[in-house]
Amino acid sequence: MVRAQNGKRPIGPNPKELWDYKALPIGAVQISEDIDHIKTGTWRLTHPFLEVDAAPCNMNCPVGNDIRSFVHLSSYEDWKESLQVLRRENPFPGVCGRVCYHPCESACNRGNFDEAISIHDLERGVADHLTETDWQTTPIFDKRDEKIAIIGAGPAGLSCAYFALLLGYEVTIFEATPFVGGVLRTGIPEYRLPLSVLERELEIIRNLRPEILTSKALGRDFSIEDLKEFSAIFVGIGASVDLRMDIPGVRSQSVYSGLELLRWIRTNQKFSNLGKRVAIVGGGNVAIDVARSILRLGAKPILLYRRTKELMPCNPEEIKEMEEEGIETIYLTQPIEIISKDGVVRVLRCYKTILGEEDNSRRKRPLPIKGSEFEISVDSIVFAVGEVPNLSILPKSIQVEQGMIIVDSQQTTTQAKIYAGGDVVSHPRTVAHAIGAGKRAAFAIDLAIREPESHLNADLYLNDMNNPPSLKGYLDFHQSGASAQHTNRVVEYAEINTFYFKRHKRIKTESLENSSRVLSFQEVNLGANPEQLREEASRCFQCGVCTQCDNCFLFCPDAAIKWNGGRQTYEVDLEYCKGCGICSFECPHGHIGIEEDSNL
Amino acid sequence: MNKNTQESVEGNCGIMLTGNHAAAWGARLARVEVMPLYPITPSTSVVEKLVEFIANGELNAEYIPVESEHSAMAVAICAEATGVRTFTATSSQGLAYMHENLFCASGHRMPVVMTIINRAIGGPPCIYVDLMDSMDIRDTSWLQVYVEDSQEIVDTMIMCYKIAEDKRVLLPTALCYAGMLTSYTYEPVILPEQDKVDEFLPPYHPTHFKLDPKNPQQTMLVGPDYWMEYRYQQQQAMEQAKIVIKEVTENFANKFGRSYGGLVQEYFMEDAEYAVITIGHESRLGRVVVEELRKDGIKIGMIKVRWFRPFPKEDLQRSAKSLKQMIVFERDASIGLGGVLNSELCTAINGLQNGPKVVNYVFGLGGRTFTDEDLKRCVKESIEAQENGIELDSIRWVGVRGLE
Repeated sequence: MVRAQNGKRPIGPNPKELWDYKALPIGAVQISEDIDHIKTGTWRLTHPFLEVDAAPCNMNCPVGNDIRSFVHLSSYEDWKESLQVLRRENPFPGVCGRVCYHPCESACNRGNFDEAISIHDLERGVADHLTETDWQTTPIFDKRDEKIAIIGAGPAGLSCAYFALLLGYEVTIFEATPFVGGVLRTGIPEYRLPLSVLERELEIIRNLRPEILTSKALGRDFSIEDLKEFSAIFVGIGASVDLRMDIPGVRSQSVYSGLELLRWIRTNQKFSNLGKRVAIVGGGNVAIDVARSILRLGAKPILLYRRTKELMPCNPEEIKEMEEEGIETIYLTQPIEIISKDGVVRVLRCYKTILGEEDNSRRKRPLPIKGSEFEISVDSIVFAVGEVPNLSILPKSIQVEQGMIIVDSQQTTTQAKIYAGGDVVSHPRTVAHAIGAGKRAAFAIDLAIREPESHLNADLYLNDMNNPPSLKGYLDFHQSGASAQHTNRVVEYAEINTFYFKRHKRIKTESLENSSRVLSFQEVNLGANPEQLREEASRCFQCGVCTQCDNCFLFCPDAAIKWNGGRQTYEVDLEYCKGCGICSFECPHGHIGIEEDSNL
Repeated sequence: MNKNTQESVEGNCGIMLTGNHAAAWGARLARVEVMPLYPITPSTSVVEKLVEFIANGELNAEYIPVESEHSAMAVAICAEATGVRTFTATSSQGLAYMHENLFCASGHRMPVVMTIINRAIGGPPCIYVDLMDSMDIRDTSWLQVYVEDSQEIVDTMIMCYKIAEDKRVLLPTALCYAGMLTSYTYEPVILPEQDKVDEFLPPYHPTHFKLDPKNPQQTMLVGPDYWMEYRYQQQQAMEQAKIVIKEVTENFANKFGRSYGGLVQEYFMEDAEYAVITIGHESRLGRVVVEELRKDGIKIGMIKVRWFRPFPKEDLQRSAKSLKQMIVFERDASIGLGGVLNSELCTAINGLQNGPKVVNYVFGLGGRTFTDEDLKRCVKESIEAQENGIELDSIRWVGVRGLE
């Protein structure tokens, strides 16, 4: 009899004895014990690979937030963990959820399907819906003796301080004004960013026990030379000097600068002597902030801008809210003279403009129209035409260019051990970029101190500007050194299998009624409720990650997708994978790629 | 006759079940363990009910939502090979799509049980009843049983597992009933008690072959030196199945009080000169017509062919000896000849001395309505022709517009 190797039972017909039908074991026929030769993997020309790819939102966040993760956690209402993920990468989620211009949403793949995920509402919601006890945080690394000086308690400086504290350093913050928060405290009106939100997030940084010295101005109260005890210095002094147009009468009384005015309003909640009609000159966020603030103080603002509405360099949502509030705007208009009488501003003379060719900023240049001069009677004028840093207080060894400090990709200035970030250097002037710069500087400082000899390796990680400054990424880099491979491949819309998603519009948050919002500085956007947040988060495509939906496992015709319980991931069994690509096609998230077999 | 059934229903109305829910109950009571199922009208509600049982925790089985009927049968075969009881259900094109795997199941002697809810097979597409889908699998070495109502579905389902898994048989079994007419009609059903079913139908423990999923194996080519022995083994299993079916049907009747005869179920056949031969749902019409004609003094009876494979050759031969005429009613046709049941019957009684004349009526294809009046008219037509010595064409289509 033919027996199986294990000798248990006859396994098939005996070709020599030619059993009759009664002796022949039924059904089983001849069995091959060895099935190695039918491993279908040898048929393969390509194979799938499971790889965590970068999500476009994450890669477009100047702060380096792990947006994909916090949105995923929000989708099943794990608010606490969601906030941990947010706060790990950003000390100011509540602030950014309100004031960030959210480039993440512009990059969101869902935008190609119906509407981008409302990430800023989610960020704000997660930050707002938790109690104080959820905000505990502790340093990641053990305490070190090195001290870091931070000059300027704005978003860049505070971000640098926060991450330096998390990495175990002693931090001293020098602030010229009596207020902590920089532009967040004195530049953004209360109706966009309530003080309570800012204070709540500042408290997190304070809990890490930095030394905060207010009313200590560089150049006035101390100099860089006084900071010898510090191992590194971060300069985040911002752009605090208002520009004014050089026109006749600009030095009159009742002519103000935008930031100066906002600072007053924000710290005093009032501003007398404005009069009834106030002209605001400019088209940026500051101009609109001023106009809307003035409206709330009971005066009538008139916004003058020399180009068209479409070319205003401010957040489009700001324009929309300004228009809702009925603020008068005059486009294609340029002031030429301020006429005062008895020392008081009476009239602003302007001319109309026409748009010519594009200038250096790639916007059309406004050109005066001859004979178009006209007059507006006003009681005061606010110039919000830009701000520049005060560089005169810095040592000459720090090189500057076009009115801003030169830094490399590690935020290092030309002076050793001095780093800079925020509006004082040349990158987009947003809160998010400032926070990102402070964070990147903290990593650079940490590397320089902790591993001076492998400092140059930092370039591998930090030099890549496409790689947002992620703390998680930095810690991974630390653990595995220069060998750490960060995938920068961003998942494209075409890789998402949209069959698995329902079309569903993004949430709409409630706003204060127009009639009541202009009477006070109460926050205009009322935010989203938890149910809305969950709904919004569950719209997310989760680009590039495995959500364990099991599609690949279920669809694989060769059962070649295997669950690895230890690593909690799916894996490809290359002995049986035929390379058909069905798993890659059916993956809703673009997590599974296909590549050619290397032995071809 | 379902005498016991009627008595029980009078005493205890049982529960109302559609044919499909009765099939699901049958699978549940048989404690099936793996169910690869792919939905197709009119079998879908079998799937739905079973999935509901699982979701409610009333049935401990693995439901596998496969991507096609072909896969459903492949999964059923492999699961059965590991020694678990499997079930699937399908209709029409779905059954056709399974076709090659049907041979695989029988050739490897896997006693899978499947319900076929009969439906015309396209094209053009049609979702209404006729038997041409299951008649098409006549030669796949599957046992086939045709039943007429919900009660018979539940009971026969339990018997199917008992028969298929018998060591003398070990062949897959198809339980067939009419789509729409039986599948969707609610009828009172006495559900067999689970503990009694468990006594009647112990768990499936194959001894002929068991696949170990951790040590997968492949069956090899068989050449001319053994092929005929394997096929003859299947033929023997079919012959044995006739004995097993009679045993099981009798044991079932003893245990549960409901009898279904055996391979065939006879009605007023003791002294009959004429016999109506039916299969499946139209047996109900046949009984009515036989009773009416008996009142007119015509010695007529009915043979309901329950088991189509193995074909009840001996039962029909025995009945045929004393009959003048056998009138075969069936909802199918092998186009180019006539009804499939008719051909089988003729083969079975071939060579009988002074055998009866066989007249075949093909009716009701694609769900075309066919009433007891229609059936009675056909019976009268053929009896009158016989008595008046008129030669009728023995294969007759009825209910076709334009056809006299």
